[in-house]
Amino acid sequence: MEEEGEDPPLAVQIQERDPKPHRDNDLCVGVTVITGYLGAGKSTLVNHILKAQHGKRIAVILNEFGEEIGVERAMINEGESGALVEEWVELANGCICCTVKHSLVQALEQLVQRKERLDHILLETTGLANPAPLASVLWLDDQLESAVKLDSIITVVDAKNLRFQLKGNHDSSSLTEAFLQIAFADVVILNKVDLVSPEGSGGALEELEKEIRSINSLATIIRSVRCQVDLSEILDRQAYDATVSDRNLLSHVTNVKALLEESQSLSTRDRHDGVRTLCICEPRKVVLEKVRLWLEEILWDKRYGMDVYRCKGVLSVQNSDQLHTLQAVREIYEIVPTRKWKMEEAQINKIVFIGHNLNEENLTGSLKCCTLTSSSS
Amino acid sequence: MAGGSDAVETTLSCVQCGKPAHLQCPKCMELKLSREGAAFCTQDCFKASWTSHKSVHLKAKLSSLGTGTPGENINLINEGWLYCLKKGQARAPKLPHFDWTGTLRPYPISSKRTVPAFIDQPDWAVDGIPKIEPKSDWQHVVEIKTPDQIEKMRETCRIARDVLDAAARAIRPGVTTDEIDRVVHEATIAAGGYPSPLNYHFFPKSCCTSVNEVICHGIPDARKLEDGDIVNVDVTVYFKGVHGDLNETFFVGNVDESSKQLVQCTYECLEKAISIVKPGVRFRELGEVINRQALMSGFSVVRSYCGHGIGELFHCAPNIPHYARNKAVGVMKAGQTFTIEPMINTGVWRDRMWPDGWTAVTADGKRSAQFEHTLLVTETGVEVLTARLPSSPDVFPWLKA
Repeated sequence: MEEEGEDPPLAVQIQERDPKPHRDNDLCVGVTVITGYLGAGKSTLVNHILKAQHGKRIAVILNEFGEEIGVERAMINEGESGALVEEWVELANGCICCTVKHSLVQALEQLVQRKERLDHILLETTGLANPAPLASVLWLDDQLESAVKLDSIITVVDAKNLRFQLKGNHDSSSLTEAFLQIAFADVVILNKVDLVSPEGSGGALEELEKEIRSINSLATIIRSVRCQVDLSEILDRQAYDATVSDRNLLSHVTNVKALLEESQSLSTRDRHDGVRTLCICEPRKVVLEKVRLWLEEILWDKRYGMDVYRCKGVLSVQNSDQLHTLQAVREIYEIVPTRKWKMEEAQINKIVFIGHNLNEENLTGSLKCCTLTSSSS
Repeated sequence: MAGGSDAVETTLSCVQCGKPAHLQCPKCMELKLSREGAAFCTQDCFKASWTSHKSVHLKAKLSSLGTGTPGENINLINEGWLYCLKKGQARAPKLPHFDWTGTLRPYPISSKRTVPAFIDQPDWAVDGIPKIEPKSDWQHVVEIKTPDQIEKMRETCRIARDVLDAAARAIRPGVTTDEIDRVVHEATIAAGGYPSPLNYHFFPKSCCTSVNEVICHGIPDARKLEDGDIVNVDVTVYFKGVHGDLNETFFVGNVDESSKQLVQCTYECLEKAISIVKPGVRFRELGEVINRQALMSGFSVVRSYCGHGIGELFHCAPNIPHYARNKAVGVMKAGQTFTIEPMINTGVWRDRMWPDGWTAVTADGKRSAQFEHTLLVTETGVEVLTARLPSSPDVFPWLKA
């Protein structure tokens, strides 16, 4: 290179470089966890999603979560042509070592980066009783601006065998897989309905849906034959995205409340010493910090001996005109102010709990305490 | 877009005088060099620093000649030093391809150091794979240490502190990070301990040395430290069945104003975080405190790496993110031991990984600093197990009385 002279060239004005956000929503790929009993139809669902002519490019990861496997198998649907391309997704085995993102998340991010365009990822679990650990791993902080995000948990249920599976082992202290998989679901696909009532006529199916709702009233139930479901109902649910689904959350929770009130005749307390849903309301505004402590006692300290699996709600907070959304999976929770309350909306706290040994009185009473400011009597 | 990044465009400081800078060297722009080394407040300052500044161009030009191995390293390759790849599981004689974010490059690394057989070793020492740690219940529940375990941790952390201090004393321009690693390795063994990083998931060395734009997990290699560098040395010692973990960022010779501010701010972030530790405080709160402190100086907080529980395991629950608005679970209780180790960047918070599978660098090539302590929550507050001692080298100007 030529010798630089004695005098410097003219210095140039610095353009303030705008650090572009690394992802826009287009690049953030939703991950759907698909769970369910052996034979319920998980693989059928996956095949349906892959092969349906939808123009979406979808990757399926077959995940032996919890096992020591370094490499997972991924099948990617190449969009229009529908050809399936199989490739290996390598899980950088371990090094939990002070990284915030689990190796599964890192592997999924690498997959997204490698592919020219990926519209969605399905994570098909096999032999997994409880999808909660997977949800914890995938429900990332917004701050991480990850290329992947948890979209929803879908449980495929076998209509023919559900009743039997729910009866399971009542005498043992551990709840059957069926309860847990339904409890954590955002969508329940009630499959093989043709085997229960071939003409499609009601009774038996409605009873099954009631059973499912008594466990988890938050989930959407979709009836299907051979898992032929409309993709728009199961992809892009954004079930864990506080900012996006706030309006839906409010109406969702309100609907759940209505549903529960309707089915008061179903004394869910006796039916299952298992899992159930309840909704509590509190018309007075709450002190945010007190709600946090209250929730943490329930989720982290297992207060009152209650075991909460999922929680979703809207909060009406003192000294704020913002509607706050609340979401929890096991011990992980977040309360996020999302938007101003609308004029026509009643500013009431509504919280839905799904869990085991839930005590409605205790929950309602203790939530009430959160409305008291320290100076009030 | 969701989340709103906390990264704020920093005011650049003039390389010559430290005042806010809005001009940059056009040659540096052409060579795509880091802006922080090329910023000036006026043409006069630029002119005044020109004689020394243009060496930056020469250096950059030399290091980018060819994609192969820089000439200075050919000798080392011949002696068996190799570049590290695949998280430590492979070696190569040539510099790997990568779109390097800054001016730093990996150098070849020396062969594996040995540990005498009489020293108690963790289960990854032989085959590189931790067996107990990944499966342990302590990945999900935060352990309350017994008085006996606490006493052991005090001792081990004290050793780790002494080892880091020894490393600090070795730092000066012209010394390689491999040499620092040798100091750490030998000091650890002399105390009867095992250097935990060695062969942990195949990590090839006994400590991490992170220079300039390296955020963490830098691998000690043949590169000589240069006047103006900042370097973090991260030491973990395994002794009497427990680990003690700490790190500090040091100045090499005379560093620029921006680096001084970065390092001091990072120190203060850790200090501030430690000051709120006591029973009942949520782990999540640490990220809020650190983030606030960093933002005040216009710096950003690394989000991919976090503090961690420590004890009989090297890494276990809790996970402690250093950024704000995180969903960390749990509150502090007396008897818990964990690290807080904020990594603070001059520029953006994002990180990238080098081809070696370990070294994390800033996405924009600007500098990053870190400090770490192992802490014990006491009934009333906190005990800093890896605290500086009166004998610790006096290398931080802001600590002078």
